[in-house]
Amino acid sequence: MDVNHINAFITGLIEVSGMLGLGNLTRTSLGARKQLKTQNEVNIIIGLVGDIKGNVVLSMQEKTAMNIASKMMGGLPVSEFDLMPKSALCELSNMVSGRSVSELEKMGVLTNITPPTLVHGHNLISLISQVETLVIEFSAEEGRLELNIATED
Amino acid sequence: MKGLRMDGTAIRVMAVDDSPITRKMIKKALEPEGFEIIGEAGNGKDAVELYHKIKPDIITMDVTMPIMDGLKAAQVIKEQNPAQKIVMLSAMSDQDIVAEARGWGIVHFCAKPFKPEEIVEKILRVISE
Amino acid sequence: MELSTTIAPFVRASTNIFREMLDVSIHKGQVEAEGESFLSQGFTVMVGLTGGWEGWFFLDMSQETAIKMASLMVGEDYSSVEEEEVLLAGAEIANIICGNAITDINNIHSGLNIRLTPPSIFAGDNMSMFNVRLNACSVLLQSDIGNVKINVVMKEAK
Repeated sequence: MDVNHINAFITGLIEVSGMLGLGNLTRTSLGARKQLKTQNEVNIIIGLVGDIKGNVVLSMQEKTAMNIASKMMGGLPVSEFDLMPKSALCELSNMVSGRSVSELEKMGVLTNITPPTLVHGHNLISLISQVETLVIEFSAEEGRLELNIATED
Repeated sequence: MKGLRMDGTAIRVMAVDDSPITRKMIKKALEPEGFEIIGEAGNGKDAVELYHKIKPDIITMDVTMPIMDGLKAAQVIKEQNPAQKIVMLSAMSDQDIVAEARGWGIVHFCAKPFKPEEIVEKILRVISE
Repeated sequence: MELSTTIAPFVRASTNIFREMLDVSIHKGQVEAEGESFLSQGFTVMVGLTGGWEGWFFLDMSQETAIKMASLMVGEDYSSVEEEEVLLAGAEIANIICGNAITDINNIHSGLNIRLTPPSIFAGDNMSMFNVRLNACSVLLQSDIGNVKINVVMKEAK
């Protein structure tokens, strides 16, 4: 994976989080995905086809997702991970991928993206690629976020 | 044992596919018939590198793969050795892909899904040409 | 775009692949409309579509069915979805179904040029799939190894 392409996604997430008023999003680690199991109940997937092909998954715990949704809805309390917070998280994901795609375009890299799918469940096992998946961890006031990038370029 | 020649030597196959499961299925289809899988690769780039080391009698090559796709890898190999026998495997039988491949001397395709007998017969047919 | 006609090539491809690769015969259900969300049976493979149409294809089944499917496909005895080969087998089946289906679709609608993302697989408990503002339709395929649901979520690209 090209480091410039990875940076486009990191930029997308950080900028959009800033715009939405999420608190102090900082990157905490970067490494290869080691195992199939995840403790993150909320996983939002965007697929890419074009100069870059693969899947990008934004994942987090349910509590973090609800905190983010609440922030996005002006502080409205969110007590259940239902339609409203799910829609909000999909919107976040759309904005992040849109921003990332613009960054990539500036580099002359053109790629089409799918609409997002939000997968929610417990005791999840996931495999988003047959090649290596890069996991970038972030920390914010609302909780921890993970950007999983599995792309071939 | 269709994979054995008259002199008892095995036909040597290199299996290239980004899905380890498909590579496993190819082995299971061919090995019982006496074919020898002498090497495997998960992308076109590794395929080209491995090819130079092991010189198989025939290559099964998936079209859609990361890093370097199968058509490109097949083209590179054919440029170096036009006589190399290659069977392209694909779940998509786009007319455009087939036409483009023909231009590079890649004429043998086997559509996915294939039954074990199908891949055996295809390989035998290509080897005998 | 009529979703019920969009799903037809996927139903044909699925039926064909189950028969050819697994020797399993399928009894097709009706096309059902789905809302923005569906509950997974425990094991779901997803393939994204881009190009003239944008959306997702889902292949959904119970974990038990997924294990049986992998075992039939590979000729080995698997016992859990935690085994990577069970996930990979699901991915490959979905990949082939979609490859076959969109070859059909691209041939019928020239210029549509639909392309596929690599497959993702998710397995778990109380799992649901949500696509905001996208409607879906599904077809239940009944077989001896269990019920397999295929679900298509699509819109025309702008």
